[in-house]
Amino acid sequence: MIGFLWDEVLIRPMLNLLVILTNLAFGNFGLGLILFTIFTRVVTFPLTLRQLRATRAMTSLKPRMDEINKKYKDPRRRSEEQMKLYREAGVNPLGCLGPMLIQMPIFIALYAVVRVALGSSPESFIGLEGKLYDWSFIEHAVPLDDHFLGIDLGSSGGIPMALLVGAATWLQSKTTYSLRPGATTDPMMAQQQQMMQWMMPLIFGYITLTFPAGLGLYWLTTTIIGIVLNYVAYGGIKKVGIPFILKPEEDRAMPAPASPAPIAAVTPEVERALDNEVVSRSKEKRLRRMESARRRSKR
Amino acid sequence: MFHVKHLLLLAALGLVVAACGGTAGADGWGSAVGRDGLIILPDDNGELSGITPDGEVRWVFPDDAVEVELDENVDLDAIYGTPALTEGRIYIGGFDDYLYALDQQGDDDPSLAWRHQTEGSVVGGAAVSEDGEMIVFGSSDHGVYAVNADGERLWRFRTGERVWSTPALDGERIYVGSMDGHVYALDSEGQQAWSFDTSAAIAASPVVDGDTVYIGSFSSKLYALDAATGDERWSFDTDNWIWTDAVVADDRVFVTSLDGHTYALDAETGDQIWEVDTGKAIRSRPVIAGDLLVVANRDGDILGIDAASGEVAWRQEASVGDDVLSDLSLIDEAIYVRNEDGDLYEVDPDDGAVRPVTRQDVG
Repeated sequence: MIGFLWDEVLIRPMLNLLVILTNLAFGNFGLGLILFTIFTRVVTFPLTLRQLRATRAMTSLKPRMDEINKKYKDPRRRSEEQMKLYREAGVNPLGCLGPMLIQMPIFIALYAVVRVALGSSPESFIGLEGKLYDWSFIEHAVPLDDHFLGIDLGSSGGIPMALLVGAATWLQSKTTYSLRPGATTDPMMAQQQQMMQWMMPLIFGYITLTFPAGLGLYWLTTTIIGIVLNYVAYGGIKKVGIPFILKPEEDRAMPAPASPAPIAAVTPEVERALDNEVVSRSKEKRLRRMESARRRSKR
Repeated sequence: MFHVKHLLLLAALGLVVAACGGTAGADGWGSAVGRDGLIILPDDNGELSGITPDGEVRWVFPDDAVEVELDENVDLDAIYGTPALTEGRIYIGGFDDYLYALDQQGDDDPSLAWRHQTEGSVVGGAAVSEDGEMIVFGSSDHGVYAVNADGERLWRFRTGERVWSTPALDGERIYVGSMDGHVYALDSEGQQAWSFDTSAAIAASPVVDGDTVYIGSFSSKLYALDAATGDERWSFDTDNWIWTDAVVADDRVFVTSLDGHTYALDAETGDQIWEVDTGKAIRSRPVIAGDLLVVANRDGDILGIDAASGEVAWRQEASVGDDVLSDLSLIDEAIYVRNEDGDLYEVDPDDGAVRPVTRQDVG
């Protein structure tokens, strides 16, 4: 059942769409793949927009998040407060994962599609025929021109393509982490970002090197689009005057406090005393009560 | 938090993609031919065997001797074309880009006479001129090659796509189809006499009968062309690609299609006389055995069809254990069919009884 759905809902439509786009692109599969990538980017744009908005919103919450991190040492409590903040701000922290999750099945299905579409053996042609829709302009379109800029898209991408994909992926990570406002000051986060910045290019470079170059071309195109979007969303709005992706009022909608709430001084003694209590009242409330009591006694 | 998830997602992606495996494999679907009581059979490992009708293996090519002679590992990868036989010679195309010429007589072991390298896999078979002095074959490097009996290249004609079609010779010209959609007629010097555009890829081989060339295309049509000029005499529409060579007999043309049908047409006009739906795509070229046209579809259903009336005389359902993509062979009045596992079966044309010709591998 899953195999049937995978074939009929993803593989066949994708394959036939690619053949149609290749037809439109003068019979060149490489150009067809680029058109296909643009098409998938357009179709998944609402998700991308959500991701950009979520990232931007989370960035604007950063000062309050830092505050929470500083204030609450208990991980469970800290997590509760973080989620509360997300709820108040109307931010879905998993919104960042949408485009990534949707890219995965596309990428994996595309691998299968490229194998079927550009297979070099006669058996693969028989397999291809079984997956094409019964429309003459599709059935007559094969074999597809599998060369693009001298690269055989059905064979391994080779080192030049792997380097290109790796460089583009690195640049995308770089723009994601450095262009957006409020880069992290958390050393652990910064370390993770550093790791991602190098891991992703290596992984996708390796995939390009090992699998058909058609996949590499898809990833290169989608990554370049991602870099442009990053620039427009995080770096170019004000400079280039392209306000349509993230409207300024969306920033205003974020519930950033006008003046951050004062944090009570918590000495180690106080912290220990609070930790020893088993009552369910929050430390925050107790700290505030202690602070007001201190002020009253001074008066 | 999300960066760790990104990492996990990437790792999962890598695992899934890796699990998808490599590129689609080439097994080959070369069909059997017979000579001197021996069946010469390409298998699914890219090997050619000489076996008796009882399945006893007399020889296998390539063998150790050839590897010692060439001082390298010889692996044809896959054999798709039907071996071409001449006096003392066997010509076979390998998916490893070579055309092989083997010296072989009786049931002696073959020896490599020469091999000619191209820049792409050799999928179709070779056509040999009547005097045996010119061997013509196509390659996935888009070329049509002519070599002499010593393996020296005479000429190369370049088409716009892969050439998987086995050329046909009529003593004057060479006819061949290309995946660029054209049928080409060449003279013996490799100069183009004419070409005909079918507007879709051609993987089938042309058949010359009198002054007409018959050839099927991925345009789903069978074409009858004037051999002298390339003008279209008629065409016949099917519902899917035609990947089999036509069979011409008694003023009729029989053709099968991936639409699962077998069609009998009037050779002169192209009018349909009858059709039989076998229920599954057909890639195998049928054979005429007596009054019957014997057809095998991809599922391995084998049908004996009365060539005159189109009545199905007998039908054996999925009788050969696996998919069938190889052409049927008629050897000493018996019909042989090879499945995709490389196993050979003998089919009795009288009643369709199927007998496995077990391979009894030696040493």
